Amino acid sequence: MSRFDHALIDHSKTFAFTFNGREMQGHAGDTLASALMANGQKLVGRSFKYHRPRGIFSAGPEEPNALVELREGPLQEPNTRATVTELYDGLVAKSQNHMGSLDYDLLALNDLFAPFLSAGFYYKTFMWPKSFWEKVYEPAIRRAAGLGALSGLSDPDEYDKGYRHCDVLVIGAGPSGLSAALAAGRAGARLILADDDFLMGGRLNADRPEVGGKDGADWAAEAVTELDAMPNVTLMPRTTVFGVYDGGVYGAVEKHTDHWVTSAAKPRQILWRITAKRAILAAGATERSIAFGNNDRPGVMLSGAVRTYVNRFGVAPGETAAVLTNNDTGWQTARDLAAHGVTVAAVIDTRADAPLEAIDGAAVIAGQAVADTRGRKGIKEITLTNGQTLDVDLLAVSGGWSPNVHLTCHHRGKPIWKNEIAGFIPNGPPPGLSPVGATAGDFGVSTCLKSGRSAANVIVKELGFTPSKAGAAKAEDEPTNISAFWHVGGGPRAWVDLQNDVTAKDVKQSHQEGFRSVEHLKRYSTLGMATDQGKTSNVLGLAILAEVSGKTIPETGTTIFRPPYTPVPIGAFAGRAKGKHYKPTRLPPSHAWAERNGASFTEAGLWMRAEWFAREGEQGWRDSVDREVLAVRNSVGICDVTTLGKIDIQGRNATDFVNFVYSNGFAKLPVGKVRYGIMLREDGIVMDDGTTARLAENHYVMTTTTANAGNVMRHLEFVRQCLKPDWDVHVISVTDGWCQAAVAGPRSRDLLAKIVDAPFDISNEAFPFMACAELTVCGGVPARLFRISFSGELAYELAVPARYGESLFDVLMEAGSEFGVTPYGLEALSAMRIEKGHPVANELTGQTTARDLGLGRMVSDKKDSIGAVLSRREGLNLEDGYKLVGFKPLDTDEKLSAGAHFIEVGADYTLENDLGWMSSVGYSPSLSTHIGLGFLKRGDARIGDVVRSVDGVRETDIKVEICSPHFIDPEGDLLRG
Amino acid sequence: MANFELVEKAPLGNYVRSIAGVTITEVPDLNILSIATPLGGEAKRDAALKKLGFDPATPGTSFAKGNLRLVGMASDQHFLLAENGELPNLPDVYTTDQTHNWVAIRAEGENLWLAMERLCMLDLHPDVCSKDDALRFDIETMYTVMVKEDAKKILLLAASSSAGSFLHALETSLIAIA
Repeated sequence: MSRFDHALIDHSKTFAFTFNGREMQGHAGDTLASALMANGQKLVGRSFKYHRPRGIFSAGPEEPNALVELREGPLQEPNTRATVTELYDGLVAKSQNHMGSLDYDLLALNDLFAPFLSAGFYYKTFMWPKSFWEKVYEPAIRRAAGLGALSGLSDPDEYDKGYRHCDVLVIGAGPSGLSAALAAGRAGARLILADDDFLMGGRLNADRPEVGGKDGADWAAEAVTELDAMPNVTLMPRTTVFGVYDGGVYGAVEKHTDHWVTSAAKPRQILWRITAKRAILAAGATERSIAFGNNDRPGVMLSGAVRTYVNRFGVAPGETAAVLTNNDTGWQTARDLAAHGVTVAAVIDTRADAPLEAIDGAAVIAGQAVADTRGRKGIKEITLTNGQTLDVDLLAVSGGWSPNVHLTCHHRGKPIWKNEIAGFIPNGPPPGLSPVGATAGDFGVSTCLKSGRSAANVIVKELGFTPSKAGAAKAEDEPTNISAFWHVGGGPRAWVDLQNDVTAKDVKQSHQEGFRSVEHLKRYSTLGMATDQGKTSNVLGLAILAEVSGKTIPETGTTIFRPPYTPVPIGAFAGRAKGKHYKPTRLPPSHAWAERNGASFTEAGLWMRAEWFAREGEQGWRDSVDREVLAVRNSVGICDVTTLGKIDIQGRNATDFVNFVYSNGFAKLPVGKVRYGIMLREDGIVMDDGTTARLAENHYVMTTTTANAGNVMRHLEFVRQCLKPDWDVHVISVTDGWCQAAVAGPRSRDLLAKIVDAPFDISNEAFPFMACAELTVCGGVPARLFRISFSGELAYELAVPARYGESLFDVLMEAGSEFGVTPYGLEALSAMRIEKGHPVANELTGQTTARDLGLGRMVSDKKDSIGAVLSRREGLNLEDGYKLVGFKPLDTDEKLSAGAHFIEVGADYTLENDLGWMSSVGYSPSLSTHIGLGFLKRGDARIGDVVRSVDGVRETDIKVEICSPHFIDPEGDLLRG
Repeated sequence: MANFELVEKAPLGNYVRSIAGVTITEVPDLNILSIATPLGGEAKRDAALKKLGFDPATPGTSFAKGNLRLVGMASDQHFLLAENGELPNLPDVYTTDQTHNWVAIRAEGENLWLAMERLCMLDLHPDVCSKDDALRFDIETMYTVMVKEDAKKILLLAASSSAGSFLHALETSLIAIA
């Protein structure tokens, strides 16, 4: 099909693309919709419910029909609006929602059953049997009625997010927006101009009115050029501002490389968070249709869209047209069509007096409407309400214009009705957002230009800038008078919402069935749902509701709008947060060393920790872990414990502070000593545990569990700043600053003796259990040494500055080679701490008390500490409360699993009979059996009893003996040795 | 006794790379000292800083002098950065050596701010963020300190344990704008 010369496309640049496998050509500057139209493709999709043939209806984001699956394979994106899809060379598109081909859709049979498929049919029809709804009915309905399909493959494209700031954000680059942007930009304000189109200009490109003595499109292009040259202006084409949030924050999505055949590793879309001191909403208005019989056929289009295709894209949507309008703008369509050689058979104006000048060759039919149409896959004939028929292949319909008030509703602003334009206008927009031009209900090019400039000048002045003296560009206001006319009753089905197949009859039926609120109408009939969110149908639907209710439209009211204004891909919201970017990874300093030594890793919060170090010949992880445990118990092992939180505490009140945050006493801890402590929340529940070392009179270093490092740091800051602001104490995290290695086992002292610098004495007498010291190692590297043990063995934790960490493990391996030093991972660590009865996060669940853990005596009643008072509540000290116990299977070959529940022998496995749970379970190579820790009612009184361990998930039922949680060295002789 | 030697290794192994007109360079020899003010000890702190040639820096600002930079971190906390230099001994304030807690990356180049607007939710426009300003924010949930050293040059500090992820975030932004 030939294209009109003056169109805003690049005739010299031809793009090849396919639609349903058919090869077509378009030009740079085309949308997919305009290119399809230029290739004579009228039928572009099937309707949601009835599978009726549908064609291109609009030329913008409001499109309800022309939804396609764009691209192929994992790149496939369903429900893409062809009307806003910028054409590119190599574009591949497919129609969606049909069984068989687009031309011969088997599900078009649905249309024959239309009388049974009215509003809410599935609420009534598929009620029996109840169980069929999820398994049979819903899947069948979803297959038969719906939108496009995802590929089911992972989206390989990149998405990004970004942050921009400005004095003034102008949303929309039509006449109002450009005029506002010029005024704000010329005044020197930091300006962002965002528009969803790839070509800024809005209806100046679609209508081509004269502005400033020139073609409106040329004026728009010059305005954009001027703005682009301003250093204070950022232009954001292809960017939809979709939401208004608190504090002047606007959400916007930019189609960054959507118009490229591949994104070339660049983000396909960018989600922008724009913070603006003020914003001007120049989003224009959306045309709506009129409901009449069979008004959904391909070839029935919005009148303004017809002008867009003719004037901007240089393509005629038909050869013989008629225009149906209730307002003056429809006449402009007739004029533009005639000017481009399209035969205009008639202008049908629903108003009794045709107000405007007749178009040559076109009949003017006043006071009538269209009652019906014919033509299965494209309109062929229309029948007027007076019975007259006309042969046309294009019917341009204008039911009036609805201001795009959507963003003004995002802070619950409720639009109000303006009778003069038969549309809703903004009312109570979000603070700082000023609607202008058509968005504010002020139609006409000149009015829009002035409205934008005026609003911008007021705003920039308020922001402290001097408004530019340049006036708004000169233009004429085209006539836009309207006399509301909504639908033609009594005939065949008349569509209100094309996307959801909602007819005028459905609206009436909803009302009859009691869904009389506009909100209920929406939810019952699906009017205004899905990708277009009723941009062309909402007002029409509620006008019909008002009519059947016997109310006015203002009395009926309107639904309001939530973000997003138009669909935003989930990928854009996710941004980089996928795969490696989903969350940061924290690596202990030994990570590279552990990799070299065959470690497998597991996630512990954000940390990657070595879980075991496999050796050649080992058949599975248990072989590795058992070997590591026995090596520690028999000689020496090393393990990176850097991930434990480390908090440096200094100040004259540091001792008071530590004594206050721990429930047990720290006031008398000598310098050079370490103490184990438990920390309670205000409510008396255990928050965390760990050791704290007193390095100097007013200097402590506290360790926390890995999981609670952040929580404890926040807690300490809260205590310092809010509870004890008059104490001289400072806390700072040093977790990342020190690499800490556990050196455990009977030969650990021998190993460390080889690397600590003289004259430090590491003997048991000079450096006993729970001692700490600052020293140097390996010839002068500063270090901290703690004589503490998590494994129950003679053990130390040696800390060196983190950048020496990787090297430290090499040195420990070299120094310990004569003792057969063995690296061990988290699993061996866990097995040994269960053997020793040390609680970890499995036990410190945020629901357990010190008493539950068998540590009740550690909550001192001789001092004030956080949580001590509430820990004495009766409910936390019940006679039959839970107590931490150890357990082991009677049959040592049985394998236990954490999570199982304790049940009395012979009792039913019911909630009432539940005695507690197994929180930690592991295999003890030292005892050659599974063992575990768990919470059992009156556990301390049940040592020696036999109960059942019942696991409903794994379906196991095993008898276990309750025992002390200290399986190994209960007296602590080893660790003191 | 055998001699064992510990070797120091920078978190990113002295990383340097230029992408999209921006050069990112790890600064391995940046020593960092946290200076906390004792309660009621402002005068002593001021005197200690004076000896180094600094007035106290309010949060969000920094001063540079020679190879030292004093960064205001909070009302009662400063960071003293010493590039290729020793940290001073300041007995009248509470100090903590923070050198190994952080990875330091210098980013410099024409497209620096284009990359940063993909990472930082704060307004970095030169009218708002001036030379020597010191900002604290998150990059991909990673706590970050940024010192604007010059019009197109910044110093970024982030946790050393997540240095790889932090670098990855920077590189991704630069690749995205390339």
